[in-house]
Order: sequence, then structure tokens, then C-alpha cells
Amino acid sequence: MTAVKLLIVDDHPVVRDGLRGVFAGDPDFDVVGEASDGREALAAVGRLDVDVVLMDLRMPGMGGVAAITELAVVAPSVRVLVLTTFDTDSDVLPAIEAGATGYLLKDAPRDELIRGVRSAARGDSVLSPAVARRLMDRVGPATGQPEPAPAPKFDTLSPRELDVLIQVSQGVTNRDAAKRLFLSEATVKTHLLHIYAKLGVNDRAAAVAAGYELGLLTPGRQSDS
Amino acid sequence: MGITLSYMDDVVVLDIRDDGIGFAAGQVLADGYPGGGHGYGLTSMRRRCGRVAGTLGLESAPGEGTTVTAIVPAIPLTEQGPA
Repeated sequence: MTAVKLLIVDDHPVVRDGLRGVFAGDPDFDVVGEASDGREALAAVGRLDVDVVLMDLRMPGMGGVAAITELAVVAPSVRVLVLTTFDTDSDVLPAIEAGATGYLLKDAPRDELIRGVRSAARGDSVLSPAVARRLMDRVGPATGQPEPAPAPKFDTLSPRELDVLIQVSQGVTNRDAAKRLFLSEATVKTHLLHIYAKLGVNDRAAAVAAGYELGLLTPGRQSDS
Repeated sequence: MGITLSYMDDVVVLDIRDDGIGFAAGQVLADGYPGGGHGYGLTSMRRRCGRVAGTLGLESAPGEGTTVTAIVPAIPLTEQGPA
């Protein structure tokens, strides 16, 4: 396995040094650069070959959320793992909506951090338990407070599940989707069940609707498989 | 001909599909011997899957090609060995 190439973005040099120290001894990781704000991070991603960005949120100049939003456009294959002190709604939700692959807190144990980066490199979403609980509260039973924004979906689809959802959105039957993706119909159905569970829906139409709502599907988008 | 390995949450699925003439799958499964021949392939594959707590599936229809699916549980390795 090739080393995961990391960019560390934080406005505090001490934090950057500490993070570098966590990964320096591990041959599975290669810290290829550092940046002290969002603007520098964008420049570094453009200049360097980066797999995962460890991103602080609150930084002078361009903050983390703005940088994540920009990165999702200019470098969609780069995963962003937010690493911050804060787990308040005003920090967590915008970061995830902007396209962060994961959200960990700076008090996370070293092992959790390393595991998180590995998962993020694979494209899996990573949430520290405190953040997950916060999101669960948002999507769970009403707390009596008004809830203007739609519930965020943090269980992201795998690339393969997205392939299947794209087929479904094009009106393709399970049988034909199986043929196109070199799968059995049974496997297509299994993927669909996982998609339904992740999107919180019960049928194809609702899955497609949710896909568009969440920006997973865009008009005219083709499967890349 | 295509072979796809899918990693899902708790299982790994191997789908092998061809675009051949296919056959009436229900018939074969009931009879055990495809085309009235002396095949042991399906039985043997099913047993092998069973040995690792997996299952074997078969999808086909005349003119629709054939797909064989092996589903086996994905047991993550831990430092102490299989979980």
C-alpha cells in the first residue's frame, strides 16, 4: 500500500508540529506539506499531490469551511478530515455540508486520529462520537426547537452505491443495472437496500429524490464505471 | 464476461456474469444437472461456499446470460486474529 499523503492545515505552528509528530513515525503516512490558513491550503493542494487534508476550521483569513467548499470544486478527489476543537452545530454542519469526509475533535486519541485518516483516505466518512451524537440529535425526534434546515445525511454512499443510484435515476431496471455494472440482480438489490437505509427512504423514487436533494445526483450526470 | 467483487458492510460478494445463451435457472436448480448433463460444478461450488458460511446464487434466463453469485461473510481481521 502506498503511503497516504497528508496536508496539515492549522493556524497554530505548535499544533502542526504535534500532528506531524503523530504521523512522522508511521510509514503508512507521508506528511507532504503544511498550511496556516484556507488560502494556503488551496495553494498547497494545487502544488502538491495530496490524498487527505487535515483541516482546522477557525483560522484567520480564509477559514476551514470556505476552503472545504472551494476544494470540493477544484480538487474533488482530495478528502478533507476536519480536526478542530469545536463540536458546536455552527461548526459541524457547515463543514459536513461543504463536503468534509470526516470530523474529529482535537482531543481525539492518537489511534482514533490515525484510524480516521485511514478511513478518510478510503473515502469513508469519519465522525467522532461527540459529533455523531450531535448529528443524531438533529435527525432524531424533534426537540421542540424549530428545525428549518433539512436533516443532514452523514452516512455517505460508497462509489459503487452511487453507481447503482445513478442507474436507478436513469430509469434503468435492476436487471439492466446488473448487466451494465457486471453484477447479479441480487447484488443490485443489496446495494439498493443499503442505499435506502443510508438515505432513510423506502423505495427507488424516494432514493432518487433524496439523491438530487443531497447533491449526490445532478442532472445529466453519468456513471463513471 | 465480467467478474465483480463487491465489498459491502458485512459480506463480500463475487458476481461472475457472461452474456451467453442462458438457461431456465429454476429448472436447473430443481434438477441439479444443467442441460441434462453430468455437471457437478454447481453442487461443488455451493458446498465450497457453504464451508465458509457463504451462499451461492444463480441467475439466468434463456437468452439473458448467466450470473453466478458467491456471497461470503466479511470477517474483519483484528490483532488477535479473526474477530
